[in-house]
Amino acid sequence: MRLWITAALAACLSGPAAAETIVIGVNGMVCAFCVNGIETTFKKQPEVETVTVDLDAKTVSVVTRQDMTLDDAAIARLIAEAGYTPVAVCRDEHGRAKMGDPVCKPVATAS
Amino acid sequence: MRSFAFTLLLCLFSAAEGGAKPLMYTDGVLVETKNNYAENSALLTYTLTPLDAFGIRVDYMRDDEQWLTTATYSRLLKRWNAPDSQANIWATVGAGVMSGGKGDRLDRMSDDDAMGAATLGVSADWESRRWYLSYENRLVYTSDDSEFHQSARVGVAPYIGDYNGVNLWLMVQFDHRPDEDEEFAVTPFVRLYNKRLMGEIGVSSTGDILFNASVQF
Repeated sequence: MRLWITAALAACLSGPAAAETIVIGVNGMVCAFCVNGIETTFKKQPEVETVTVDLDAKTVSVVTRQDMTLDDAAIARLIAEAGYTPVAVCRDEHGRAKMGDPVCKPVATAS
Repeated sequence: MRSFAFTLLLCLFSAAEGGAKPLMYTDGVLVETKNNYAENSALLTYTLTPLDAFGIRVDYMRDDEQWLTTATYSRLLKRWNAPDSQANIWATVGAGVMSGGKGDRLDRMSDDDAMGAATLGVSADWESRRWYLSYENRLVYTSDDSEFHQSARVGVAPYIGDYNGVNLWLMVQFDHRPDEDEEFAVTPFVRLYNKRLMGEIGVSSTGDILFNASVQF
């Protein structure tokens, strides 16, 4: 009985999962006219709320919609479809990750 | 007069122009107009995959007063994505029709005068956020004749623009067209771009205006 009440309470309090901020390190981003393809490609995805490109940091930050995420394989595919090479994907709950942080994982690519 | 009208049409119907790569992102569409001392061109390109792009290209070659309309296929041969630079090598082939021409052929210009044409070109570029280098060539082959053109560009960005700002480049283009009256030309020009739009404008050593514009969708 006690276990059942605890489980019910946890379910009521948890609510929907928060949106996720994913920071992606990308090689080859040197021209805003060309890199625009990354923004366009990600914006077409139903999971994506916003996309921010930072040429200085060489990163693309993606905020997903509530209850949605993008796995590393999908991210690698989308970056490749835009013509670039993903090198790392960083996920932390605050979305403040920077390249080289422990939360960043290298991305395996074919090229 | 005809070339002026064509140039005007190109300017009206394309929102911008430039020396953009035909290979963009999957499902990307690029509309371009290129106008220099020798020819006026309009291009529409669809990128099927990051490696493959298909397009339609119309060129008006002013010296010969000829029109060349081709369906094109571009293939990315190699791309290097480095942390601070990108380099590409790609090839473009085309097949279509050449029409018009000087002298007798101009007088009797009609559909009957059209002849099959094939094109082949190889391009390469390397760029960082500060420096730009590129080379391209194009062979146009018809049963009557063949023409070869090659050009190279070098550019520098006086400041490092950010993604959302207007990016400015100072560039020089060197053209070699063995079959033209003006075999060599040097064209200093300015390139401006902001995300989807790119424009280039300059004046060549022959006194002609270079005007290129591109817009991507």
